[in-house]
Amino acid sequence: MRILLYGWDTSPRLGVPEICDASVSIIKKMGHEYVPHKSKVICAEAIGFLGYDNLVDPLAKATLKEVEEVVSKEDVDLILTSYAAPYAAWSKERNGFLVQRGYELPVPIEHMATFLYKNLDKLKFKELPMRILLHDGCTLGRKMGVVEEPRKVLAKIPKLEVLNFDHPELYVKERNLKPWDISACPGGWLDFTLPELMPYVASNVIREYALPREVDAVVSTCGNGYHAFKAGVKHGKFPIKAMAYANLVDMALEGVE
Amino acid sequence: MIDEVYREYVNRIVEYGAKSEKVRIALSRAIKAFENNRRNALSMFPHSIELAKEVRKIKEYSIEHMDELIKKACESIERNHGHCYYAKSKEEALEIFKKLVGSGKLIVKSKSLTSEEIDLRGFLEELGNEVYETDLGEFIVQLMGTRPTHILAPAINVPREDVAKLLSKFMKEHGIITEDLDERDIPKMVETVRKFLRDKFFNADIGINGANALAADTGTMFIIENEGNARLSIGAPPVQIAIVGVEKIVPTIEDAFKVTEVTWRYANYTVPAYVNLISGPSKTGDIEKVITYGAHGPKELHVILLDNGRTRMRDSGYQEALYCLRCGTCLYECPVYAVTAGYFGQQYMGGIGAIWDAFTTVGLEKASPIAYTCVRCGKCKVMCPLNIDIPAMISKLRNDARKEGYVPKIVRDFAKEIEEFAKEVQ
Repeated sequence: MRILLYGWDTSPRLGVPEICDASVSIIKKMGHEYVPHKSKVICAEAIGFLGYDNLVDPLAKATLKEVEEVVSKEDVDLILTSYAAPYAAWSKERNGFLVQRGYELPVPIEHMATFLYKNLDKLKFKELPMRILLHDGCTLGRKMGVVEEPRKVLAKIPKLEVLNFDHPELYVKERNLKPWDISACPGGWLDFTLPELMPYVASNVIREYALPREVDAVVSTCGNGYHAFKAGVKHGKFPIKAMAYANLVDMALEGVE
Repeated sequence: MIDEVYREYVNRIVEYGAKSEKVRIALSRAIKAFENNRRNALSMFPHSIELAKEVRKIKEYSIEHMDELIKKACESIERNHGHCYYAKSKEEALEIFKKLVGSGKLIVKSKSLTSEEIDLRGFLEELGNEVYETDLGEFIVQLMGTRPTHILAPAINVPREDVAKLLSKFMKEHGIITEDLDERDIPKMVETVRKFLRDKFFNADIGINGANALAADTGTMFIIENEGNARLSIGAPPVQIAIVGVEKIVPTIEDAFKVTEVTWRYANYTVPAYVNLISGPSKTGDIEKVITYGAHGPKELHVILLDNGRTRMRDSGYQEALYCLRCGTCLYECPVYAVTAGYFGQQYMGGIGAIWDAFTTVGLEKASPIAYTCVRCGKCKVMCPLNIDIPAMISKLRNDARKEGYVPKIVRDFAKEIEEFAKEVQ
């Protein structure tokens, strides 16, 4: 399978090129070929969140045109992203925001978590003796409901202990809330609006939620979330790691059966 | 201009908020206590969760019918021998206060965010009055010469060590204590303030209060409190003046009960120490059934209903912001607020504060940087008793800001890049 890696340009821009490296590594271990997509990763819905509803359609059209050209030229079968926003916008399977507006990509799009989950039976993992705190990206987890998929993949990694974010409200049984219903946002979006503040917000989330649980790493299914956690760990000089979901899986993935 | 506003705001929120270890530590302590107390309150009274859904419907109806409820509430207040005023703007409200208060008065005030909205204390002091905030947090803020940084706990960002220093200096100057207060002895700090304010309550000419709800059918104001300062400032002086936002009006007294119960429960209280209900001035008919006003409580009650942008807020598509009960949850749960306190805001705070500030205090341009500080994570919406969709309103406010040219440069540049990309590809 030839896979177009969507978000190739964004990761280095955010200072997290390791997401690209991990994605490439996973694809190769699974026996696929990859095509980097050097373009703007921000999806058309997200530009609306930033106050530019007027750019939603022009960006969607431009992105579609660009993707169609690459898909045709490179004979791409699938688009893969580690970022939640494009998946939430373009996924036909999840009736994404842009799908609802009548746009459709020429081939399916998957988020790294859904892609791995769909190939779960084939994945071979080595032991990873770590205790991690899993952060569900706001868009991927709460908005798109992709919460079981990343957990089921991680559950298959031997010796990996996965903890959820905790909150007192989860113990009010009548509220019927799940850990992923309550955001543990480290402020990834501040990258686009007020980057000076992001390390403070992220380090506080780590300090309040991760350090007391004595985890080895905070792992985020959100590319922006990971970037923020990474900045937070550095800012707070904390003795734990921040990892992107793709990086964690790549550490354990040996290949496919 | 927006870039200057943004720079000033970023400097304030980062330098005084994010970089302050004191702010972070004080908030960390307060947030943990709040979350655990709220869990206990909701677990003990789980019917509140369903009641909150009912309250949302009450608020939806009330905001939609705000104009007729204002009229009805005023009629009820007048029927109860109170005086009702409608102030369309901050200026109109202050003019009413000026006429009612004049100068040279001793005034005790209970906590009211609506009074903060119109800078009431400063205005009354400028007129030559002596004004005391009587809520402990507000009193601390008054002594510090700053502004509240949380809607329920105004001095939430001030650690006990700083409170001890502040009170020691002030109370020694006023002869209340002779030695410095111990920073570990919070009860002593509270006792000292009680001692200082005691005679202010009983010598005051005027008491000023806000309200958590106002029942249109009976003209009854509901005021939730724990300290007892509100009932003293409402009950002891001969004149009571209330300033109430028009969004607080609900159709019936039963509705107001529901609104206040949900407010205190989600504000982390199983039950508050006091819920004050005031429908009119103090009166007695004990001598031959002749009704006489001003028995032990105030002889006069004046209620000022403040619009100040609320109708415009509703008519501009931000009606959900007017459902806000001011329980404070969204602030306690906000990841940005947790490190910046009230510096994430202007007069109001947090994501919902951006909307309130845009319409009632500083205007859209100064509210724009606040809107761009919100990370739209949606934790506030999940935790809000009324499920107010703050992230959606933030997106809308950003779009409104863009139309007026109030987008910060960093976002403008990014959008320009996107726009150029779109043109280039097309």
